[in-house]
Amino acid sequence: MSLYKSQGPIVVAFLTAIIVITSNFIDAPGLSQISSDVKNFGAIIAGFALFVGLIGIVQSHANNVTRKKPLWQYSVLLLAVLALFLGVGLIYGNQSSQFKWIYDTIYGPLTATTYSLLAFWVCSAAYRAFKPRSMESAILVVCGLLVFFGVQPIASVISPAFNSIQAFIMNVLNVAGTRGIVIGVGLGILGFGLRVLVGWERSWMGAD
Amino acid sequence: MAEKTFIEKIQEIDPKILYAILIISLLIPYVRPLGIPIPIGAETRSYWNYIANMPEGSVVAMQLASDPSTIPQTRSAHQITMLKLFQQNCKIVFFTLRDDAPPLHEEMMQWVEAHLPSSKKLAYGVDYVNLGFLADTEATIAAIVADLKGFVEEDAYGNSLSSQPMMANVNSGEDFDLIVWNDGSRGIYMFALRQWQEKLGTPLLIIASTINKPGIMNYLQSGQVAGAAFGTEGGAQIESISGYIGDSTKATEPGSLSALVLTIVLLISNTIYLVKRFQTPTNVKGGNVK
Repeated sequence: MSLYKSQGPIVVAFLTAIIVITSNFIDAPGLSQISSDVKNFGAIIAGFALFVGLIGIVQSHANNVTRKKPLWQYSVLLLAVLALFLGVGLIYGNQSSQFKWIYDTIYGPLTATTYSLLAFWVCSAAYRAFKPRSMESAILVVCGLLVFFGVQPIASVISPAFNSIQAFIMNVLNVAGTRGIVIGVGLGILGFGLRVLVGWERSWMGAD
Repeated sequence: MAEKTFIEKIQEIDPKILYAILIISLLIPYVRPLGIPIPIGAETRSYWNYIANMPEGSVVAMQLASDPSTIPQTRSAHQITMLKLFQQNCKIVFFTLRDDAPPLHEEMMQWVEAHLPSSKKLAYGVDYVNLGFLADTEATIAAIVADLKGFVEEDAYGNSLSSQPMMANVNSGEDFDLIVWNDGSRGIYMFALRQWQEKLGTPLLIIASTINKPGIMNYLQSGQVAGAAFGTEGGAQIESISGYIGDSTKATEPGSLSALVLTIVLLISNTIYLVKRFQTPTNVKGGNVK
């Protein structure tokens, strides 16, 4: 790998991070503007990522169709709907009644239906798998059931204790656990950021 | 083959029977409402108090990241918040971090306009602007906070942002008095927390599906999030406080009854499991003794 390819991204990452970090602490003339521009670049690059995603999904499903892979018919459907949505959006605009019609009558109901079906899958899966097979899983089952039921208004009608117990689990036990995880993740991100800054971490460049 | 015992039959129940029980429990309250009272949670009360006390002329940022699958959980809280803020003559800058959310925003605007008093007509650019979809990254929020007009030059309809009267003094995150963040179920509230609330101290209110509640509770307790409305229950609580009874209240009873049924089903399955486990001799390490 050439020096340009191996060191170039590290230099760019280092300079970008230094500009953004120092602008938070030093009120130097022009620095905040450069920092602001760098943040804008980040958001614009993320916008382009959508386009890259579009190309990726078209390539992947076109490959499924041409090679007649299993369930390739669904890939045809996906590509057809993609072309339809894209075409209508480009020709009539995303505020048009045609675009809205596709959204309201196809996309919206399908998305909502898929999500609502989760209730049935969860019901069936929980019936079979949500079991106290060990002490840890027993605690999980008991807490899960108490919180799941305790947040429902009907629980307070049966007994106000349900609500109090779920509030205790959510506000004390849950917060204590997740706060530890959040602090750990934060420290991890800080460490990862520092490794990227000094060039020790190269996995984001595709290196091992 | 030995005939299955009753316990084994129950344990291996056909999922279709469970689905049927669930459907019936969902339908009963629609046919015959049960009249279950809706208790108001502390986080929802804080959320509403914050909205209700926003001074006239306040500039509010409202982000929508719900999609058609999660909007039934967050719609009530979101649109009633919009209505209440407009009633108090606040200025709102709307944007979404989901590419499929803009049509939902338009639907909710129609609901708001239909529920405003006839004497109150909203003027685009004066009472609100809509930035539309922005790339869903943390960098987007950082860019808005640093230099809004430098980052977004045109609104969702192609108008210059600088030409909108209400944007004359709105240039960066510092010029907002409140952030209302509809997270859907995405868990991207951290963008607003890290890049906006934590940096500038701008108050943050969150609307989210119930699945995000455990994570957000941390920030509610620490005071970084001033209030929150979670899921259908949160929406129903907002409807109850505001008096705009709608879909969330209607959905609460079916949700509540189905949760009761599911809890009973899970208790039965666990009882059967434990009965079977204690009936079967096991060795110390936990494996079944043949």
